[in-house]
Amino acid sequence: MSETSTIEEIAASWIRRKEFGDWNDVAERECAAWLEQSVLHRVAYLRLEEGWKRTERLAALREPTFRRAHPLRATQNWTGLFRIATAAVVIAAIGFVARPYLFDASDDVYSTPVGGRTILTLFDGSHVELNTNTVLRLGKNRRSATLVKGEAFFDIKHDEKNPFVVIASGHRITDLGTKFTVRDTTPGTLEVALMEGKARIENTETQLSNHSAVLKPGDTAIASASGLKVTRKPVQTLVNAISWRNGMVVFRHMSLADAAAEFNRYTQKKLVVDPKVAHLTIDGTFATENPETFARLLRVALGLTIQSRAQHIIITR
Amino acid sequence: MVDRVDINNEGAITRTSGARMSTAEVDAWFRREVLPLEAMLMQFLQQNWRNASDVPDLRQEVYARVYQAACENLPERPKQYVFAIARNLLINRVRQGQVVPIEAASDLEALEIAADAPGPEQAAIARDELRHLQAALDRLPPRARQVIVLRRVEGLSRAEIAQRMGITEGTVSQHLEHGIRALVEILGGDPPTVRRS
Repeated sequence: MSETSTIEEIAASWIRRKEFGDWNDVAERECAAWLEQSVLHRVAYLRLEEGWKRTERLAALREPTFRRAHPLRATQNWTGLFRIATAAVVIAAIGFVARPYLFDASDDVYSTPVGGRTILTLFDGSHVELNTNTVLRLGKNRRSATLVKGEAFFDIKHDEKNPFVVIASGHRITDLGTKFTVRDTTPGTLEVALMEGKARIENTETQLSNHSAVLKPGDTAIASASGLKVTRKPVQTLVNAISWRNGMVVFRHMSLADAAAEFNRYTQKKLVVDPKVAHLTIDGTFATENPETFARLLRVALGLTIQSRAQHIIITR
Repeated sequence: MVDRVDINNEGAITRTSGARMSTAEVDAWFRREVLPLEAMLMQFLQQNWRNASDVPDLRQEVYARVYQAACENLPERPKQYVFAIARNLLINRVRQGQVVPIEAASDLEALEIAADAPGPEQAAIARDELRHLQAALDRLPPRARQVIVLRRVEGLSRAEIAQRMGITEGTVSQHLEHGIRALVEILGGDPPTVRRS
């Protein structure tokens, strides 16, 4: 058997498992790992999945044409006309709303463990990426999502008639053609950063004007009980902040305390910073999966003392 | 003691410097721009490579190279890019004498022309999609076809399909996997222009 054929066989089994719901976090991780292993794996998978997705259109054949095997002769003309009309309606409807999703609608809660990361690709090319320790519910219509906790990046194909809506921490964010992140990791505060396009954020419980805003590129809205605060930063700064999409964190003039807190979102083994060195400023780019490397660099570059324990890495002068 | 320091761990710089695409971006691009070219690509490979059994491997190799390159930067003219890669791959295979002697790739000059030809086929694919799918279904092995129809047209679960067909759920899974592979092969290997006047 050729290599191509073996790869294809495995790819087909992933697609079948997704299709029939033989799927969970473990499968998700295994599948992702398999895809990472070789570009040949990935292209074989994409090819089969894309082809399989095309067959969704077959739903247009439901009822009208498949019953043609038993025509009612006496009323053939009438029913014939009727069938054509029905088929046209079905196809038109399918063009707009037919389950156009990569992921089956039967399960719409997606989550990542600490240190995990997941990309959901929707049929229209929109995608949603979940950062570490995140729970997201995706609406059946795939035009709405609820961020239960954590952080997600949304790259949404705009559809004026059917805008994408994200609900998070009592706020509604409506896309007006966008790339944005929503972060709900600190109790009581919600952060929405917009890189591209436009989005509206509003508090779902109050109509007060200081609780809603339209965001433009570079804007970050921080929502808390007292209202919305919008700050503008260079877009590049916001783009750095979503380096987690590549498994990285980027620190620019960040205090060691904040940098450690950021790292701790990704790993079970937590960095603990002595308050005496918490104010030191950090610049750099680091892989989120490896706090040890970060700690080692602190020792080499700043002469700090690093003690590694089972659950913690303690950083002192 | 300094209060600030610039540090970077190795490997970090290349991974975050500018142009590198996210996997989701490359995947979406690959689906949108590259996969629809499959019928043309297959035609091209079949016409220019004598040993037909090599063609699926060659196709996947082209895809892998295109995908790999796109991770750094999305090619601006995907079609030209795909065919340039395919052409280079064939030429290299011939030169290395890996699989076949030099006359195997019929006329290397001609490869260029094929790549430059416009592709109205794609519009035809979109218009004819449903008919195209039906034709492909008709060519599947009966059991695989039945599983796909019950799933896609009737929307049945695996258990329901198994019951309806009187087979085990495991067998349903096997038929589906074979069906997907065969269907994609037929859809990709079947130049849609042939049926059009």
